Amino acid sequence: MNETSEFHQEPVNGEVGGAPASSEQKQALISEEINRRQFLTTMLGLTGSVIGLSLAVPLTGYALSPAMVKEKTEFVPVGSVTDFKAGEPIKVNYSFRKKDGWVDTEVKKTAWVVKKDDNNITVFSPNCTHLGCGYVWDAPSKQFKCPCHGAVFSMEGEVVAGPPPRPLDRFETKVADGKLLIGKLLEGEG
Amino acid sequence: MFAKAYDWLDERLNIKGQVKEILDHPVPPHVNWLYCFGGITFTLIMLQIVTGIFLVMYYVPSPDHAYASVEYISKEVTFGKLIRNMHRLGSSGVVVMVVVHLLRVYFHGAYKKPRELNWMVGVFLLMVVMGFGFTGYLLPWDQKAYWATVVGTKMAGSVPLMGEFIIKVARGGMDLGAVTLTRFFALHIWFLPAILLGMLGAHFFMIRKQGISGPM
Repeated sequence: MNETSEFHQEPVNGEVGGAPASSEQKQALISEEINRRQFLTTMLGLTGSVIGLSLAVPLTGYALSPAMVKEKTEFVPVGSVTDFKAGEPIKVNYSFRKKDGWVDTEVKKTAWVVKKDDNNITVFSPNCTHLGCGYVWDAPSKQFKCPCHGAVFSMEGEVVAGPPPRPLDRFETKVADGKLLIGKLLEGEG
Repeated sequence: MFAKAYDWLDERLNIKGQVKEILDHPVPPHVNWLYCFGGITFTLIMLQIVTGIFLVMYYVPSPDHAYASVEYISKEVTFGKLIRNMHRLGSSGVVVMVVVHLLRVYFHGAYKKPRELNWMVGVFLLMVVMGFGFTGYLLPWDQKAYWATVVGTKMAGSVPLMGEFIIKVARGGMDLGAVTLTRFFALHIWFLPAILLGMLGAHFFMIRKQGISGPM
């Protein structure tokens, strides 16, 4: 870009005492002007980048904000330990309050509680590990049966028959003040 | 690197001429810092547009959730407080700069022939900016927002004969409520921006066509 813009044709300060500047002087002035122009262009780009970046960082953080929140599961009570009888799985309905952004909602869920004795209680997720159907307890055969594709689970959650890829998923459990609480859902292993 | 990418684009689109025409045009020698106010206003408006778009990501224009969603933005969203306050304080900045820009044009007499039309568009833009301020003020749905809008719409309702009609149109009924909030929201994020951008286009087209007014 070494074309002269309108500005460079105006009288330049370099012409001291009215004497016309030599062509060399003019050339020097023009190249100086171009350098100044390049400097300003660079500074403009730099300032623009700084402003753009200082905008882009907060805006990106703002948009990605939900991904930075750590999900934490709290233990929720599902009933008293004495509510359950050994060897007799019971389907429990439980609810807890959940913060959904700015909305405080009540979530209703179910789970299967299997008690062997007071110190040995397992809580299963109510969904079959095959495709997520809800299974039922078949008292005569003492097995869990899924109506969708004929899956059968033992009382311990092991796969007895059918297509499920793994045993039933179970919740972390703990007992406090005689109450049974469940926490994180753990994937059935096997 | 940029020069190479630019050459590549130019080779295909032949844009160098137009870009030079738009970005590299000469400015008369008498122009000084006083001539920056319009540009500053436009820069602030662009910031308002960007931060506003992001605010809509979490804001809900419903009496049940408006206040809670604004709280959520301020307290829980990363940089939410910054973005919200940029928008909130930026709005005051736009009003201030629009007025300063107007005063500069007025005292330089730059509204005179042939620029009367552009002055009129500018005054209309001032009203649009005020409209943004009035509708945006309600959206946080806190006490201040609610009562300011009660008062503001009631003032409009004091017009003889038409008063009740105006109040009903402004509030979406006799009382301030859910309908008021959604219509103010719609005005704030769709209607007014569309009008604003159209008028700004005309404003900028005219200043380019007529050039910057001469020295005092």
